[in-house]
Amino acid sequence: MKTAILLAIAGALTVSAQNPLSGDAKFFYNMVKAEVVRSAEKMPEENYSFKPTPEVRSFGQLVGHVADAQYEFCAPAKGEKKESSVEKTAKTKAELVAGLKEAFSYCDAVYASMTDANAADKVKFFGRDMTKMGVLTFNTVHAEEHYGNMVTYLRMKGLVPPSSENSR
Amino acid sequence: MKTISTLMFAAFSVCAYGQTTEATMLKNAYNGIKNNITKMAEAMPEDQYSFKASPDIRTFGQLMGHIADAQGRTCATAAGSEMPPSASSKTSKADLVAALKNSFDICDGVFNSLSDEDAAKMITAGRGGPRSKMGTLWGVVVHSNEEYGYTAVYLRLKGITPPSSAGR
Repeated sequence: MKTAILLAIAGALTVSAQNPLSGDAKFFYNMVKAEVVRSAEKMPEENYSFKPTPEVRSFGQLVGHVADAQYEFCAPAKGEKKESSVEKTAKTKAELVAGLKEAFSYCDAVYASMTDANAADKVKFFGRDMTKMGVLTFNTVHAEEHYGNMVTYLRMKGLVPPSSENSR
Repeated sequence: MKTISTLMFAAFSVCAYGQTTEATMLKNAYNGIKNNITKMAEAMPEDQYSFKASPDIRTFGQLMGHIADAQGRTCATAAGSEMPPSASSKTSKADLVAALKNSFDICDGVFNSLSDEDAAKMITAGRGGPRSKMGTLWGVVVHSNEEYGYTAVYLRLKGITPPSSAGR
């Protein structure tokens, strides 16, 4: 499945010689951001309530969860406190997509401010010391896992996920 | 599915006894997904390795083989060692579990030897690049988490709780 979008973006990738570490971290963030936003846009509203089994999140709840997570990771990385409840409060596809995009916009600025020089700066996360880049990359990893969930949901609804769109 | 708190519990397990550095955070993220994928492969019954959530995608077994191949190839290149044999033709649970273990054995050496000093060394491994050694290894973690996200839904569809959600 995946890899097509990875290849497409990788082909266009130019890593700053001065910032190879933070440049790579931004690359993976931008990749998963594009995948998740496109997935949220692609799934029809009628399937936002779809869940493969009763005990898991619906597609819409996954979108809201990823949105909320952007603040949970990026606010500490920025040194701010920020509450978010997109998963619980947004009900329609339009509200969830808007909440998702707004959340990524918030994170965009945090990632953009990261350089190799400040990547190892200590930030407080759940009361512990972590590095700025570590927190932000955990955000990317977390979002990618949930994008993986979304991929299977999309496939079960007969839709090709964004990361495979260019491979067929 | 996985929550941020679960992810962070894993992250802190390393930070608790070691200095919080970029390399230790990466190693911890790697060990987290290694644990989840290893347990997942063991938890799925052999007769479900041919299961696929929709007709046009990989079976569970094919996804396990894909993860093994992606990890093994990228880490072998990063290590400058011989490429492992492809798992793409494997279908039995025993063979695929073994292929996964082999890929993790290869990756263990690469991840465990990474220091902050050689993190920014530019290499070409896996797809795309060149990329920093740390970025390449984060790419392994990101990709494996995405694939895990697909297959977590497969497990749910078979009535099995994914390892990242077990005990909650």
